[in-house]
Amino acid sequence: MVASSIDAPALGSGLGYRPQFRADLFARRDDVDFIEVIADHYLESSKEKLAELELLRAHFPLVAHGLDLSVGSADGVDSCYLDKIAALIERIDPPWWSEHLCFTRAGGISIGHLASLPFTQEAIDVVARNVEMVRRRIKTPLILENITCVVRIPGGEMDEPEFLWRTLEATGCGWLCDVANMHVNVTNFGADLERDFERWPWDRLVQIHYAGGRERDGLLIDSHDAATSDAVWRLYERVIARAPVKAVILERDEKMPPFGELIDEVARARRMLVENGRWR
Amino acid sequence: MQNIAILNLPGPEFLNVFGLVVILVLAATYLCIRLADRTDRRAPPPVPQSPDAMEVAFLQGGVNQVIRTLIYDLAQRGFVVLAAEDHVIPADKQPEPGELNAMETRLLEAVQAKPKAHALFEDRGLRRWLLEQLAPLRAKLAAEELIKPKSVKVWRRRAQIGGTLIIVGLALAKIYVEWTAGAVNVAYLVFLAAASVASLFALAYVLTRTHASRRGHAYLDAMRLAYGGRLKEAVGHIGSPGPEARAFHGAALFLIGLYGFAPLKGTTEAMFAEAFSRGSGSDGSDCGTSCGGSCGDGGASDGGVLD
Repeated sequence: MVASSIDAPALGSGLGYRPQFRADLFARRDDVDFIEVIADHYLESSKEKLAELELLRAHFPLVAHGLDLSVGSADGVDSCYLDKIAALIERIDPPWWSEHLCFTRAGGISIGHLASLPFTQEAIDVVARNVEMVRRRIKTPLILENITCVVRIPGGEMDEPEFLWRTLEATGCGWLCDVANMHVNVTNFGADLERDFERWPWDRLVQIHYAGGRERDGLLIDSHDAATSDAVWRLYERVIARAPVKAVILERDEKMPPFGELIDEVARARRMLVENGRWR
Repeated sequence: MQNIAILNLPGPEFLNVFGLVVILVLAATYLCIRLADRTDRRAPPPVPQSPDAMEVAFLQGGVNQVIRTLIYDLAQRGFVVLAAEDHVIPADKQPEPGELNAMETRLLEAVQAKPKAHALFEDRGLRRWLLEQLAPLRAKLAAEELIKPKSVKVWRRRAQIGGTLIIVGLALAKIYVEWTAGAVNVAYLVFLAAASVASLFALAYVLTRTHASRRGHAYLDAMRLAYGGRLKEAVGHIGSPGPEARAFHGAALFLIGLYGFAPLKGTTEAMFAEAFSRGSGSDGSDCGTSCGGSCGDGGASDGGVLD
């Protein structure tokens, strides 16, 4: 399954939904093409959260973004969690949904963190097996997101672009390219993006995440608490010039600025999409 | 009539049957009125990006809510103040030519006589004039099926008349049978029949007292869910120095239309909630009792829904 085989229209330039800006979002609805909801916020929802979800669905195209599927867990995905995700996906009927290429659980214990997988064939096989189980339960296309790594797991057999490329080949999933994560990893691990740029799986690109982060002790952190940096914007523009993309999402979780600043970033992302012929 | 088995039942057994009939009548009334408003078959319209304060107020609580919203806006802008004993009086500040629209100007005229808050609701001339001004808005809301359809009123009347005939007819028939048999102990049945009819009318009132249709209620609920955060933000600005003190000014005025004065309780503007609560019998948070029986048509008459 390549990206273009996801039979859905392009969604444009959107925003990762956070309840704290709900009123502003509705007041400036025309400035946001679609929104992405965090699936985990609606899995065991109160009546009010479900009403919120219905309200969002009635006003915006939606995609869902999961946090805790743990698609890289050697002991498989949690069937109970999978059932809840399946129910949510059925409820909102998105054109696709996304998860992180990582593991968040091991030995039945939740580690509360997106942990990097070892870049090995064995890890790829685990992910492929888990995705197959997910696909049997949820027919809506799943796309996988590259995450940031604090440390590389020893014993890696390949680098990140190859690992991602092979994993997507093995699973048939599309790619959610987080350009901020890509920038963080390339910078922190001193990779040569110029040399390796074409080795990333651009033919599987479906969606982009971008966000701002910060630097601490010489390391970049994908903290979603600042405006998108110039470096990430440059990478974003390069990516959308390189490959067709159906949707781009701004992520912001901390230190929320006035909503207008988020809208400015969404508009900038849209403008670049339009300039590169990716959006109307 | 003496040959009808039900009417020859002993008193307690007849009362059981009578109670069952009353329950069936109330259930049928509920269904008739409920099914007369099937506007919720359609999803509510999208929440507006810039809600119109008058539209929201009229939909939420008819003319009374429009009056509340206009008075509050005039007070925020310094043209009106609340005085002792719930009197609404004009302030010293005079509007510039063209500064107020027609409805605001009319309200400002109405407070020249320094009426009590409730007197504004009872001013029939004012209400009629406002309704004329709101006629295009009302037509728009009706076209969108956001206010109760006329069929609700029709079915309410049918249910009230039919239900009353059944309850009173059954009671009278039993009384007639008892009297012809020489028994005169029918006081409890008379009381029960009266209470049942009262319950019937109360039920019909409760089911029809609000102005919005079921679709309209869903629309208002969606607006509350979408913009509820703005209310907390606006209430937080009340009493703050500078222009932010006009917390519900401009684009935020619709929140007064949507929520009434209830959110002002506990703020420095609680006097609005108090004055209009004393004036209307409620805190103004919804149509409910605040407009008596007059809000069904937005307040055109005192007779109830859609008159």
